[in-house]
Amino acid sequence: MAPEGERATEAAAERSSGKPETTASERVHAGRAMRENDVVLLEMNDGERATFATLRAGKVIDLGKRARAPAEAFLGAPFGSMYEARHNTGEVERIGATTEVINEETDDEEAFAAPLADERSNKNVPNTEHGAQTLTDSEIAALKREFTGEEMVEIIAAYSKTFEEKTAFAQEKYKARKLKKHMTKILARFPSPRVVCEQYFYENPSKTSYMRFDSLSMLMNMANVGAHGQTLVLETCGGLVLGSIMHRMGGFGRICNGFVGTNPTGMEVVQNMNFDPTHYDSVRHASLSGLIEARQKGAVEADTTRAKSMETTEPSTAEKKERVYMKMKFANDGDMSDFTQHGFSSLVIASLSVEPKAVLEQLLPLCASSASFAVWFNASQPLAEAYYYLRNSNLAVNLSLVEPFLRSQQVLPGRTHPVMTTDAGSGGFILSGTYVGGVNTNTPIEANKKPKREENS
Amino acid sequence: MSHVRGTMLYASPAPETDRERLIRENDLVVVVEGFNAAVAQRIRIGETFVSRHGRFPHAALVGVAFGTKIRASDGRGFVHVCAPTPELWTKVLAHRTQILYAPDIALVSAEMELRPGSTVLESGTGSGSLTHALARCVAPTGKVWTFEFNETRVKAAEEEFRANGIDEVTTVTHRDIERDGFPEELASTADAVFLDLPGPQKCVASVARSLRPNGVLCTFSPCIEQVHKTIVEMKKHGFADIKTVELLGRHYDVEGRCLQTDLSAPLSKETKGGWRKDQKRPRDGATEDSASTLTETVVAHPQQRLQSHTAYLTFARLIPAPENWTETLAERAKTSESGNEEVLKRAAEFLAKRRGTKKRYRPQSDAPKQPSKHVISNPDDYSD
Repeated sequence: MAPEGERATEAAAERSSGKPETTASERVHAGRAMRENDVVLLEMNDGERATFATLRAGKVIDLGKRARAPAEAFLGAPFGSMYEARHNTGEVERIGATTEVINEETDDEEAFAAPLADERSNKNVPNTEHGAQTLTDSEIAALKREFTGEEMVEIIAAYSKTFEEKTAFAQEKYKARKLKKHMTKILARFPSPRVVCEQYFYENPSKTSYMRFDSLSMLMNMANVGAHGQTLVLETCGGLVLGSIMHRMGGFGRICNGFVGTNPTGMEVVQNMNFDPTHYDSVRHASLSGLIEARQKGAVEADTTRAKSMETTEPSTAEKKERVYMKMKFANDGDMSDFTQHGFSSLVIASLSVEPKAVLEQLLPLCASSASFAVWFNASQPLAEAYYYLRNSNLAVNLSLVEPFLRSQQVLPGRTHPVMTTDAGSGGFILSGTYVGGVNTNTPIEANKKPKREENS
Repeated sequence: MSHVRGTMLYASPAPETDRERLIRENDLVVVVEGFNAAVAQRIRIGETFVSRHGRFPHAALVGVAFGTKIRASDGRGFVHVCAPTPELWTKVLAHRTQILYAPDIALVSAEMELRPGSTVLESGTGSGSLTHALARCVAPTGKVWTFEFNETRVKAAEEEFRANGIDEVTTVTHRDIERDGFPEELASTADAVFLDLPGPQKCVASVARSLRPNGVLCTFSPCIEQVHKTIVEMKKHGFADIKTVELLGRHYDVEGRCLQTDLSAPLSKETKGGWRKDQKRPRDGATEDSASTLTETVVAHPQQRLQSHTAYLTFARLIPAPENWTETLAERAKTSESGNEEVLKRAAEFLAKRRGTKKRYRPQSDAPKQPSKHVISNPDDYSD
């Protein structure tokens, strides 16, 4: 535990110096302390419910079920810290993981068998437990003010008529259920894309177009999103996909947030991810029609004119007030020409409002040749049609259409099985591939031998 | 800002114009021969790539843009030459061991919350399938420390990493992690640890030492018994937020089918037995005349052969402990040992005192029992 203590003091020293978070190593959040204005996801009782909270000194955070905590209870502690909200006193106390040492002596064989070797059964336990508890509500309420959560569970179990007759499984479940009622365990999570995606998926899925976490991770990998890349993203998932790309690229390279029509759609989800200014600075909003137009224009113009046009546009863009939306700038002429000259190295599309085939047809030419792309949709048919089109028009290779199927497992001694209800229905479908339409193809190798452009590097 | 040619990772600064990235000598190229058939080739002048599509002299590929469709020098067929990515590498790498595939890799990279600058430990290295993806996630400022207990695999991996240009962010070391644990120098440095070992439970203690607070441990185990043993260990060493999942990627085949709409005409050659139109495209002119009675339907159907289980992925988080937590915990354990009896005694006393001083409110037992509204009082009476 010694390094942990050191880290905490380090973090404290950092805060007192008031230095903003800038260095590369600092950008890594693990072990990072919660600071003022940070967003934290407070997860109660192992995912029973969760809420985003912005930590501001003096602010009281509502934890639900009449529990509240001042923001100061969290400030300074590292992300990932665990807390107990005591219902008898109303205070929030930081705890560590409760290390389970109970089964130390029993070997594995026993551990597997233990709960099954039980003569009791639920045969005689009535279904309606009404009246099983001999304590009244008011007595429980009074006890609650005197005893801690764990103690309450013991008392309630002791005063239950049916508790003794239950099987060990049922007793364990009963106690766990009562513990949740009388004590709240809080996990203060760093709002990483995975955490944010899950939170929206369970609480407010329409905001992120029902984007499930495994699909999001597949999108990132299949599109080869990485630092120093140049990524084009078209999404209507509230900023979730954009945020995930920003996280993966860590402020290195460029991201173009392409939007349909005249204005970007909502990007609120990005604001929940504690990004620093370098992350925001790597993003530019650009209208997709503008990009396509710039690309067509750029194709006509020779390379030499590019340098000239950049020189001439620079002062005019400086004069123009830079448009900013959700802390991210709009692409100016220089950015536009950069995007179209280099071509995008990755293309990510996650929108239920656009037709995949039509979008790919228009956006793939903006990509560099051999760029990776990934498209998400929650139905297979539009993607199948896009797949069919791309294959038959020889625009892409390595095409794959995948549906991720994620299943959670309960792993307990002697009671391991897939969990009963999951949101495993479908995480949607992902079409991915490599764009190969960017070069003049179908010519014998001899003709291809001479390079198209002089190499500058 | 853009790809360095023939290497796995993007690099900065960007070459000036690279809309068409050109292949150079010593570049790694993924030659795509057709659906799901790809081969890795390192460009060496004088060598020739020979496949069922024909002969492709490497010298002829130099100076060609990545993504180009290349015709064989003997004119038989064509291939596409693609720039390597970790995903393509997974398809073409030389298997030294069983490897991780794209869906698992994606989930692992994301669950471990990797980003540029992260430090990640991996064991074992195996064929390096996951290592390349991890390197992409943490580059350019992070680090992948990967450990393998088989020396020949270490050598092979080392060479591969250097050739593929991920060696700046990746270090492979010969070490038996199950037996020796992770090196002490790496204590409290890792943001994430990935274990693909036969007995991951043996090194959980070492993982707990290596991780930073709030770091993520991920284990990849095909058998549930391994998972169970590991979870027991995780709970002993301060991990929480433990979950086990299974991720399957269901792959779909896409094809255009000719489905007949005219019920009076006999089934034609094209429509019998779900003929796949896209295999013989209209370019051979075969279906032009019957086009009026046939509708082309694009269908997606799951591939019959499904990878239905790769492994159980278990994720756990090292919970940062507050100061003096071990002491607090020991104290708690002590009180709970003597606790039960004592607590119940205190509760009984409290209740007795309360019942004595305060009139007990008994709404249910005193009041005459009301029949429930949800029960039909006279089930035989169907008058209404």
